[in-house]
Amino acid sequence: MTKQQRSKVQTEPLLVKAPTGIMGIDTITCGGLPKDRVTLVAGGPGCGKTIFGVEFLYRGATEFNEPGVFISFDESQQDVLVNASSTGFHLQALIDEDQLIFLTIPLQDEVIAFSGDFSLDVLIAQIGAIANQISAKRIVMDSVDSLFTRFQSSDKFRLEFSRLLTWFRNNNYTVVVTSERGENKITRHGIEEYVADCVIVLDHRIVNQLANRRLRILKYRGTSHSSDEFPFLISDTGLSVFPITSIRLDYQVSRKFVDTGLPWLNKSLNGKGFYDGSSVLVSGGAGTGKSSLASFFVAATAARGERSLYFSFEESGDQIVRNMQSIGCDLGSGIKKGLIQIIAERPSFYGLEEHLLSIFHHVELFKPRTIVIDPITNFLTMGNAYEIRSILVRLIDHLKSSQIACMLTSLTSSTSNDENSRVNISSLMDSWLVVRNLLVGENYERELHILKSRGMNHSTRSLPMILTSEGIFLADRKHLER
Amino acid sequence: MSTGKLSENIKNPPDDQMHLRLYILGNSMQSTRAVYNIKQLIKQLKLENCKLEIIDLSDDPRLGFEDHIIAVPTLVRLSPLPVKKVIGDLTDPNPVIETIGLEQFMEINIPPDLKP
Repeated sequence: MTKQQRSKVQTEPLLVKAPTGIMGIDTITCGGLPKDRVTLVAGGPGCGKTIFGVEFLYRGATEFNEPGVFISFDESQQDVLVNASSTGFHLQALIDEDQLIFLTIPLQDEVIAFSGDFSLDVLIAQIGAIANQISAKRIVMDSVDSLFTRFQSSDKFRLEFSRLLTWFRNNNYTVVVTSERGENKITRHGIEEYVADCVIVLDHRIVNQLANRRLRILKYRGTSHSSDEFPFLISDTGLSVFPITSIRLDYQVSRKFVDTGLPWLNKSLNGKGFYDGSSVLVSGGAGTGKSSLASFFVAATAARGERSLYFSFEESGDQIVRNMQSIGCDLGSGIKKGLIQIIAERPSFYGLEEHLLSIFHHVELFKPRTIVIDPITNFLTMGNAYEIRSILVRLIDHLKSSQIACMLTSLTSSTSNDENSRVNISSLMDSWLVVRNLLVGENYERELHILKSRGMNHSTRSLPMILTSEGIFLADRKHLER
Repeated sequence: MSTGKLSENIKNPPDDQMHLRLYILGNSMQSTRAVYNIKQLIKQLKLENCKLEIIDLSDDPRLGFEDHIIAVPTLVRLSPLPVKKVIGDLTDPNPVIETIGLEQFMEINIPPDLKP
């Protein structure tokens, strides 16, 4: 390395980031917002700007030991606190513990005229004084549009606003400023001109009568960032952004196995079970035993001391536990230990996408090693097969890269060809099991067939199975083998 | 200049009195000009029954919270209601006269250059 090269390396400043703790944000920004700089969050009404600001301060105080100041130019302290509560953030407790200070600056009801030169030095001094009271490191200004309007967006005001932002930087505050979207510009008053470091845009649109929330990093100086839009949800744990846009096929492949919960099935799959982090499709008609197979899979996960999430779109949690108990599958003890969680929701209550995103959300919160979605075909009642497939692709991709094994069940009608599962995602799945009810003589027998299982030498013969009160067995060897 | 704490009897002056409060920050050019300008205006218009308070926020800027002061200088008309404000060093008297409503307190003889 030459002397010139060496000195160049030494003088390049490191971009330090302030983690937000907001689900997904720190991932898509590779670390958080620019520390000691100003980030602009722009969005229309109801987009989630204020909640972003609230959560930024809340987690800043509770997770990163950085108290904050919330400056509200529009809403009263009471209104912000009530809204924050509904998204799970109880700010009063923070205020009482000197981790948060609220500053309300109402601007609407005054008659103001201007005469001559002025400065915003007093606002700067006020912010400094209250920030010092609690050694605040983070500041949110929500939203600055009424400030611009009140001061008629004059050149003088703009200069002062710029000085305010410079003061934030010189005093090492990490700041979030929120603003309304503009029509031709990013924000109505062109605030993006003053915020050089990071601009995030929130969007909330209705597509096919369903709500879709999107977040985009418009600008992040010094960091290579994705320019994609990321879907996000607002729930009772705040914002959840899902970094699920591009699909890369570069995840690590595991050589380990997960127990299916049924020894004869493990044997038929290369002897050991499914590959860890793989995706399994179980398709079949009504009453063929798909949910039963899924339950044994879940129970086996809990038996190892690992967590499993069961998304049920047909039956309630209690029904499942009771039904599975009758075939010797114990989900109850896993649930009691907090290793199994059954989430039963009818998809019709949510938008298609929001529902699938909520699966992501639960996965992020619960951090399971395996999940079951039973069935995925319910989504057909809402969107079209193309939409479902595209979101499921992203879900499966995300699970793979997180090394979470998933089992999806799919209900096929008895008249259709089993191999053409209605929601045609079988090509994405690593393993595909088909279960059928066959009339043999006078009785119905259930038969399982492993259509495919990538990377392993699996049995291709039909596996007749019976469901007894002690479990699911291979029918032709029920006396010798479980 | 008096740095005043906001005591009760100043907050509620009798109705026929005009109560003005000028907020400034330190000894800046803007502060000095604003003080000069308002005092000149009061003198030139020969305003009677006008109480002028001057509050310097440099000791504790949080004193400005009560009247929601975020810019300096700011002239606040507290009485008669409703509250009105003029932001700036008051170089141009016309917005001051109009907004604060000084006409009603003026004597008959208005200097010609101050006519709104």
